[in-house]
Amino acid sequence: MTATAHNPAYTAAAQARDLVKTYGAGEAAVRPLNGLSIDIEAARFTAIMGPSGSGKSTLMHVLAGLDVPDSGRVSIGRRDLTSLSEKQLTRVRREHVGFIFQAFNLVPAMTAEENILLPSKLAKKTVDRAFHDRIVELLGLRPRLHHRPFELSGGQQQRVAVARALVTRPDIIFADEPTGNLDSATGTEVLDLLRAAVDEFGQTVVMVTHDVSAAARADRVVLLADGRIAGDLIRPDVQTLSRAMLEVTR
Amino acid sequence: MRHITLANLRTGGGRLIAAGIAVMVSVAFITAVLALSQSFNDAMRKQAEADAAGAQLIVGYDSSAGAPPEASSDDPNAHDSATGSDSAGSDSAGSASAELSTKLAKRLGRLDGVESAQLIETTYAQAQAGSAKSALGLSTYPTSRSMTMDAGTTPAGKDQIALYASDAKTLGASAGDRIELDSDLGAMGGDSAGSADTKKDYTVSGVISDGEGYGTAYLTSAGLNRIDAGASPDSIRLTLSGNQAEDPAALTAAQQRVAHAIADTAHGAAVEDEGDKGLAVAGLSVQTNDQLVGQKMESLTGSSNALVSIVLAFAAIAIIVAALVISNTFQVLVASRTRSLALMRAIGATRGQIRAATLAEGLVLGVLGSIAGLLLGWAGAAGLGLAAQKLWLPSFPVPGLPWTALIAGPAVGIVVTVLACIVPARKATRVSPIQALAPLDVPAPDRRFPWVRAILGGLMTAAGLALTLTGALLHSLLPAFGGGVLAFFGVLVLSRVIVPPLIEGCGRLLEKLTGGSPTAGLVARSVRMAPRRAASTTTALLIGVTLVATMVVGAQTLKTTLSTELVQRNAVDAAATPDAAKRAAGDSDIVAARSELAGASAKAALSGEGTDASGTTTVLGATRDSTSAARRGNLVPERGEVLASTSAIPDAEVDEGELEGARITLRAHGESVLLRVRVEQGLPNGTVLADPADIAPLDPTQGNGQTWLRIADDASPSQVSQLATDLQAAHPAAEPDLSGAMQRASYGQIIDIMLTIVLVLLAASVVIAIVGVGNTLSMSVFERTREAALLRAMGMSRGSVGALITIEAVLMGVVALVLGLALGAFFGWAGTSALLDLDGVTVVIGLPWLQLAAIVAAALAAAALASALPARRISRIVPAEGLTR
Repeated sequence: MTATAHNPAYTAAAQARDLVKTYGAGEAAVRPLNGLSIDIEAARFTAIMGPSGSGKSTLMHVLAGLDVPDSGRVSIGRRDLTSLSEKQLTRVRREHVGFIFQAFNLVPAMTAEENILLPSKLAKKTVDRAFHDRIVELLGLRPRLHHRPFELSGGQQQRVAVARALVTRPDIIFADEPTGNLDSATGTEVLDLLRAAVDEFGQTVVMVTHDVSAAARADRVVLLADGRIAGDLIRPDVQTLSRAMLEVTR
Repeated sequence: MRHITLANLRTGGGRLIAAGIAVMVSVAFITAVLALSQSFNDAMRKQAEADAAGAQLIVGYDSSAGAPPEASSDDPNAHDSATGSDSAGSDSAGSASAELSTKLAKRLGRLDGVESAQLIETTYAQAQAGSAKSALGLSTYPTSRSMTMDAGTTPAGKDQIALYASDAKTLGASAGDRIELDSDLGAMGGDSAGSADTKKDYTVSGVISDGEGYGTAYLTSAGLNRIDAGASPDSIRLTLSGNQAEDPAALTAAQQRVAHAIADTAHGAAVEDEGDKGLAVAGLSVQTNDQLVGQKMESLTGSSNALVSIVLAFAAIAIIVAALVISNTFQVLVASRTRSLALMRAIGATRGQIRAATLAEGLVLGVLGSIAGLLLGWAGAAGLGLAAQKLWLPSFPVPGLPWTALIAGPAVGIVVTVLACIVPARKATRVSPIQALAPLDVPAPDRRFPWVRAILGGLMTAAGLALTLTGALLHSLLPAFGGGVLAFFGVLVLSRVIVPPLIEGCGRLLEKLTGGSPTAGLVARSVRMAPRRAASTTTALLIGVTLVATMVVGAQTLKTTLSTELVQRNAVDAAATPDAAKRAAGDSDIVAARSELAGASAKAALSGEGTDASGTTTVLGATRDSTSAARRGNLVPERGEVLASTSAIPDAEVDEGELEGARITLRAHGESVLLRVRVEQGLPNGTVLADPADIAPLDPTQGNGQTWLRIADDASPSQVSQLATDLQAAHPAAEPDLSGAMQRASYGQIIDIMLTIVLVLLAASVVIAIVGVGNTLSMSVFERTREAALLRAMGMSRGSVGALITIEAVLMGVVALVLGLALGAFFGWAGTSALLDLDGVTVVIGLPWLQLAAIVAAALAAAALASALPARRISRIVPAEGLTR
């Protein structure tokens, strides 16, 4: 399970070089990515922080193959995403990437179980039943498997999303403000799960957040401002992080 | 409130277009129907005015009003000596009556203030110029009517005739050409019939401009009597001296004088004043020009109004479908606006304002849709009017926009739109201000079971179906029709209960069949999220499928039933001598099968209880093989048996009861056989059937036998009549009997024409339904943007996301087809059964497989087509953008 964890510092799960992305034109043009480069280490929990408009969501979308940069290169593992067609990108997403979103994580018409199995079904892959059961037990979802999203609490929905992201054992999991919609106790619970995914299953997790206490649970925190990296901290505590954030915002 | 409406219209924008189209098509339908009927009336008025033009007073012979005055006279000492003496016993429009009418006209012409009086007579004839034929009405040329001539002059001699330009074109004749008239209209089919004395030659003296009319040719009085001495008197046209016609009092006085002069010839018959219809005396009418035109129009308008109301019933169907589409659009609009509506409530909009804003939006849509519909309908009517002018009636006026359409079209469009918005408007008022603040949450499906609908719809459907069945079995139209309407509305009410589970079931079945396709599975599961939308979209399709299926099944059932009845009357489509059949029908492509039966001409003598008759008959040796071309399979006699109809033995007047079981002796070549009769009606005339072995002593041969032909079911009446002519020509003594085939072909043609008209009228509803499906699907795309983005992020391909919409549409189509075809088949059968009240005829359902397959293909294609754009749109959603919205 921890096969990739023995040499973490030197394995990049994802890489980005000189990313540029512009929306709009003329006066209204915004450039959320402005020559940004970053390496995401495997089997680590990386948090990306920054004020609104700093480009953190765009970075995540580009890294995850959800969006295409105007220029620059992106790769997941050894796969260069920049040269891939829409179809190939879709395949990379469903086979190598897991997602946890802030809200609307689940297909409303499907039960929790169906949602968890959806990516494997789309990829036409058989599910490792034992691993699936282990995750479901770990996340305490067993009694909730046959409920549909509207019957689940916000925390439960996020847990289903985590289970879905874990069960296919993707190369990398992206979490976009996964605690944004939750109360603090439930939020902590979800962060515990992400932590456990890294520590126990050797997963690579990238989390975008603007919550300092959430980011403080990560192994590494990358601060963004105006489409560039404005800081890179290893296991910072809440105070250090808060100060760094204030500086970036200023 | 105005601000809210405007804002709503801005955001609704494109999504309102489909609802607008629904309004537009309905209004266009109504407008076109009213405009065309107005135009039709105008054309008829023009014709009536042209007919009456030039005459100030018209004495009309109304065939239904009774005999002309002279005929009712039995007094030999009448004022006009000729009147009484000639009249005895003459009550038909024969030559005697024509002579009397001529005398009456002369008499009226001598009255004070009457300048001229001309008797107009009419008849019919078959006109032929070269190979071109046309049936024409013939009329005395009214000298007081001045007609615009395209060429030549009005008829002056007794061998001259003037034709309308369109008729001249049909006949390929121009001024100076010779044409032949044949008063024997029965000779239209064959060319050997029609003896020489019914034919007369005429020269075309001139061609009358098309603006005046069509279908009638004009001759002089003598010319008309050459072809038909007994032409019926139609009217006496009077012109008055001086300016009497311009002075109402003088006109009325002249009218009275004429009426009393007629009364005098009928020995003081009473003159009755019928108001607007003029004066009536002794079965004749005396009318002014205006009164005649007015009366003609009144009777015409009556029948055209009846036609218009039937067509408007189809407009009503289109409107119901449109209302469904509009209501559906607004429900989804309101749902998609929940947040902004809540925001408005939060900042102080009252419920009333929200409701009014939604209704106002409907009003604006109704007004715009109606204006567009008015223009579209007008344009459509003008197009059809122009086509009618070109192809049918050159004097047909291009439709204007009558005030009835100007008022009725928009009124219906606006009222229906606003009414359809009432339910959505009520829903809009239920949005609470809190909802503006609540986080965007996972939508919860509508899970309440619609008990009221289930019970009400179930009861309506059950009662309606029972009533329809009763009407069908009792051959009574009213309960069948009422029951059908009730049951159909019952199913519409029930649709919310039954349609979503059916779609879900189909989806899950598809999921199983495709080995667990996540797309099919997701479609099945998503129906539960928006059951109302799925139900109402399917309903729009269901209405179209049911109505079309009802019509095609009804038509086929009618054909099958009539065919069964015809087979009872004629077991064989066509029978002819082998010789004639060989020569005339050898290469005919309407002959579907043929049987050769060997036979002999035999002297038949009948002996039985109270019967004793004899005559010559053709006895045929019939086996299962040799009768295979017959329409019935029961024409195989057993040993010792002879099959004969009551008309089999010429000059033998026996009824069925007497004939059944009677003994018949058949004699030929000095041999005789004795056989027992089994009555079998519908055999070819003068023909009996026996087992070949039984009649072997009579020495039957192929040459003395018959050839039986089975005519293809889709043969047209003209093809059948052509075959009849050919058979006749090939062997003058063949006396081919094609009545079975002819009737089948004629009924088939009439039914097909009716069906085509009905289907064209249903087209508007079908178009609206398809627009409605597209509309609902694009709403569904809008609602599911986030879901689609999520699925794309999860790795669902573009094609699969698009397929979500296409499969949903096709499944709706499938469910609409299953329900609609079942209902349509039942209604079609029941309707025909209720309509037909033939003794001893069971109405058996006829399923036109080809047409039903066409409905299936069309419905599925329409669903797929309607889903094309929405599917494209959902597949283009960029996952990142969809998620952040």
